[in-house]
Amino acid sequence: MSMQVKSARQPDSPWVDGIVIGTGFFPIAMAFGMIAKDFGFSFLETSLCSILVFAGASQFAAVGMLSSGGGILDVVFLVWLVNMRHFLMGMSLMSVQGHRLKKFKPLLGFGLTDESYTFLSLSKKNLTASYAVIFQMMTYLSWVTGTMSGYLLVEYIPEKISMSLDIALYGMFAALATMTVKRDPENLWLILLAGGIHQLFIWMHVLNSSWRLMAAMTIAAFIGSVFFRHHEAPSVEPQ
Amino acid sequence: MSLKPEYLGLFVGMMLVTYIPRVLPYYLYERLTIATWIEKPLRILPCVAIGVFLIPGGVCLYPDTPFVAPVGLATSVVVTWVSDNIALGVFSAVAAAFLFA
Repeated sequence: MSMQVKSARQPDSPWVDGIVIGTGFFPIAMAFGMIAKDFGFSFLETSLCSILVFAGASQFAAVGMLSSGGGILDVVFLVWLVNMRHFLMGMSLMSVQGHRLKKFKPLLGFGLTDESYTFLSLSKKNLTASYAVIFQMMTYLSWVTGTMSGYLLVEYIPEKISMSLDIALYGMFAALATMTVKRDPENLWLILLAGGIHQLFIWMHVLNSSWRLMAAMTIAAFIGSVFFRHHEAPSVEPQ
Repeated sequence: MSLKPEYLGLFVGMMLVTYIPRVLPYYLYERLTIATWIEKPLRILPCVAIGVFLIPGGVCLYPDTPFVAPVGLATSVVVTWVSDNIALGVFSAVAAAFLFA
């Protein structure tokens, strides 16, 4: 009986998972396409930015900084600051899944975002490098096509639809949080501790947003590693 | 279809400073011996990251209608808890936001 149940389960599809999470990238990418157009980037420039860089927050920051008169080097420095956190996340992903990610390293590095990092490190016990690379490329496609759509369709998208899609990525974080907590309730305290420290930094007006994120993550991870019982990667693969 | 050379330079610069920190860990990790006191925090970092992304960014996503985001996220939590399906959780959050916005 249990065999039947097991075989009836859908096989894991990186295409489907990538499209689902990519749905969350799409509205943000569209918003980027819109503000890039507003700023005065051509369609080619806007698309190229998303094709080459593939980094949400720092692309917005770049346009913002250019509009307020920042120079090219200022922007590059800002983007470097904002994206340094991916080094930390990459090291973390490698410590959790590194033995499964031996292939496609240059591509996997390119596709490492906040979202693919959390998804790949938490959602799969049986992760493979090809799953990871397909998953990431689907999110990348969504980012690039979303940017182009935003640029081209800015006048035609009802606000209510684009607004409700904004929650998709956070819906994913909430879903991942649920799976980790279901697996080990202790993780709830870890999540709240991290969020609490982050919120505290915001109230205190210390650091800029990217450093705040990194500092809150680092401090919470160290506190967690000292005070919490298990230090295994909290995989959330359904049993 | 224009492409200013200085913008091309900008994008290439942005690409490099984004790509290098992202790809380095794939090559560095095996070559480094990571001390336990660093290894442990790295292993719980995924869970911690969710916390800093959700609080306050996710919870306060719609400042004009402050209850919509918490309702959407709570919907995702309930649906994911019951279904064990992350995709369903994501879509239920979007549906809830659409209904309540």
